[in-house]
Amino acid sequence: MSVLAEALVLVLQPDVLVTVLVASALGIVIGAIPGLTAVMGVALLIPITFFMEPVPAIAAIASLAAMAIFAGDIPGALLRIPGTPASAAYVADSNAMSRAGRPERALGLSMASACIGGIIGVILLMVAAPLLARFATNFSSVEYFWLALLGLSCAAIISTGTPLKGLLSLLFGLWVAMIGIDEVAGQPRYTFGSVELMGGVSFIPAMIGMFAFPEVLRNITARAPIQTPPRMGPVFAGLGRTLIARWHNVLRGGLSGSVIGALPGAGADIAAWVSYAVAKRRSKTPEAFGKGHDEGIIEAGASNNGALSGAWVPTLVFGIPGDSITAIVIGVLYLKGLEPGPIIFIKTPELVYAIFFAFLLANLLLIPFGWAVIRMSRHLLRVPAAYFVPVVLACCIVGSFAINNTAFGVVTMLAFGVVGWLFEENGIPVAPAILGIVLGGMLEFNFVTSMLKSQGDLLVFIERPVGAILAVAVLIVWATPLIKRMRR
Amino acid sequence: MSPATPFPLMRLNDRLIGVLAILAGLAVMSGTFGFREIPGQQFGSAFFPRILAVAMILAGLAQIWAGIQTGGRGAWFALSDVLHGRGAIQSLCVVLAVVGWVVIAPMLGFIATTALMIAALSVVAGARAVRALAVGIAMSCLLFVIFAVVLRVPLPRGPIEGLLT
Repeated sequence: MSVLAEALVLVLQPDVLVTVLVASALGIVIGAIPGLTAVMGVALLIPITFFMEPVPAIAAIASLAAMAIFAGDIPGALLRIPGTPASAAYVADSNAMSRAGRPERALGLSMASACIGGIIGVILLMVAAPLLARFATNFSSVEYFWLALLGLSCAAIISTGTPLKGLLSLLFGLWVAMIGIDEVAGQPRYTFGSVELMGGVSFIPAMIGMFAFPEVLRNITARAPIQTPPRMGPVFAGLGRTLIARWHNVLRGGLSGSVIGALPGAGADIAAWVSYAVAKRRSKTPEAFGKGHDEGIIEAGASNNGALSGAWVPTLVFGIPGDSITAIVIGVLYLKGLEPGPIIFIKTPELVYAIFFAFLLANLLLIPFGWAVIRMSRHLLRVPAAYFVPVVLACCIVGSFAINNTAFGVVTMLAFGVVGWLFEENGIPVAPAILGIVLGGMLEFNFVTSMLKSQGDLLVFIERPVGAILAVAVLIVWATPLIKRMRR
Repeated sequence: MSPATPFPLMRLNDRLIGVLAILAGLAVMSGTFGFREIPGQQFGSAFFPRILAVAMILAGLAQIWAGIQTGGRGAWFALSDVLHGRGAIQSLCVVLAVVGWVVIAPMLGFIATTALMIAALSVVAGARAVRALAVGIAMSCLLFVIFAVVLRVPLPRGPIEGLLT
C-alpha cells in the first residue's frame, strides 16, 4: 500500500473522525465566545489528547484551531469584539457590514475564505514540507542551533510588544527550560530542592497557565454589558458570485498567509494584519476599507487560516514552531515519542501525510460547522461570562492535574498563569516564553554539542554554507529593529 | 498569539521591568556557582545558564534605558480602576479558588470541590446562586465523566465518587 493510501486509512478510522467532529464542535464554540481564543482552546485540549494515539491527537488540534480561528469572526462581526486576535484585522469591516443589515454576508464570506485559505495552506504544506525535509536530512547540530535561534529570534522580534520585551519573555522561557536535571552532567539546575522539578517544569500545565489563566482573570473582571446580536438571513445567498469576483483576494490571502505562517514566530494574527494591509493597498477602492468593504474580510480571512497550516511547515520539518499553537503541538509530539524533524518524514511518512489529510478534512468541515454556528450565534453570544469563565478555570485545573496525576501540575499552572497575566498586562508577549520553554533544551544541546565538537572554536558555527546563511538570517532579524530605532 | 490587553489592569514601569530582569539575571548567575564541574569537560552545566544570565542583565539594562528614553518617570507601579474594589476581590477569588481546590479536593473529592468552586466563582462574577450551583454540578459531573471514566485519570476521590464508582 502506498504511503498516501496508508495515511488516508489512518485518517478515516472511526475514532479519528469522531475526534475531529467533537474537536470541531468545541473549536467553533470556543472561538465564538468573546474572550476565549484558539490558542487557549488548544491548550485546554492537550490534556485530553495526552491519552490519544498521535493521529487523532494531532487531528483534534488541527480541527479545533481551524474552527476557532474562523468562529472568532462571529463576535467580531456581530458585536465588534474579535473572538480571537486573528480576527481583529478586519473587525471594523465585518461589523460595519453587520450593522448595515447583512451579518450573514460578512460571516459567510469569512467562512468561505477561511475554508479556501486553509486548503491553500494545506496544499503548500503537502508540497513544501517533504521537499524541505529531504534537504534538512544533511543538517548537523550547528544548523539546528541556528534554526532554533532563528525561530526564537523571530518570535521575540515579530510578536506583539516591543522587541526588547519579546527578548525578556524569551529569556524567561529559556531559563524555565533549564530547570531540572542536566542530562549531560546529571546536575540538578534551579530545582530549589523540589523532587517534582527534577524532571523539569511540566510543559502542559505551564502552557495552560500562561495562555488560559490570564483570560480567566481578564474575563472575570470584564465590565462589558451583554449585547443582543442581529438576526441572520440565508448564509449562502450570493456568496459564490462574490468569491468568484474576488478570486484574486482569496488566492493572494491564502498564499501570503501560508508563507507568513511558515515563518517561525509569525502566526495567524500577523498574517491577517499583513494581508489586510496588502488588500487595502491593491484595492481600487481603498477608501471603503473599515466601512464594511468585503475585500479586506476575504483576503485577511483566507490569510489567517492559511497561516495555521503554513505554521506546520517549520514545525514538522525542523521541529521549530511557526506559532503558539504549533509550539504546543511540538510538546505533544515529544510526549507521543515522536521527535519532529526530517527523520519523521523518513521513519513514519504515513503519519505525516495523515496529519496533512486531517488538516484538509478540518478545513472542509468549516463549511457545515460554520453554517451551523452562524445560525446559532445569537444564542452563543448571549452566554454570560459569569457562567463560562469558572468552567474554563475548572478545565484548566483538571487538565493540569491529569498530566502527572498530581496537584503539583495545578500549582505549576497557577504560578505560570500569574506570570502570564503579569506579562500580558505589561505588553510582554507570552508566545516567545512558550517557544523558549519548548526549544530551550534543543538550543542548549546543539550549542554545547557544537562547542564540544569544535573544542571551543566559534568558527564552527559559520563553516558550513547553510550554517553561515542561517547566521546571517539571525543577524538580520536582530539588526532590523535596531536600524529602525537608530533611523528614528 | 494573544495580544497585550488594551486596558492594562496592573502596569509596571518599564524601568522597574528592567530592574527585575537584572535581578533575575543575577539570581540565575549566582545559581550556577553551585553546579559541580565535570573534570575534563570544557563546557559543563553552568556554561549555557551563564550566557543566559548575562543576556538577562544586558536586556534589563536596555529596558531601563528604553524606559528613560520614553519618559517613563511615572509611578513604578499602577493599578487600573477595575482592580479596585469588586475587580480586586474577583481576581483574588480566582487565585484562591485554585489554591482552595488543591487543598480541599483530596478531602471532598473532585465533583464536590469543583462544583462548589464553579458555583462560588460564578456568584462572585455576578451570576444567580441557584443557576450557578446547577452549572457547577452539571459541569463537574461532565468533567468527571470525561477524565475519570473515559480517560481513566485518578481524580481526587471523596464521598460522592465513592457512591458513583
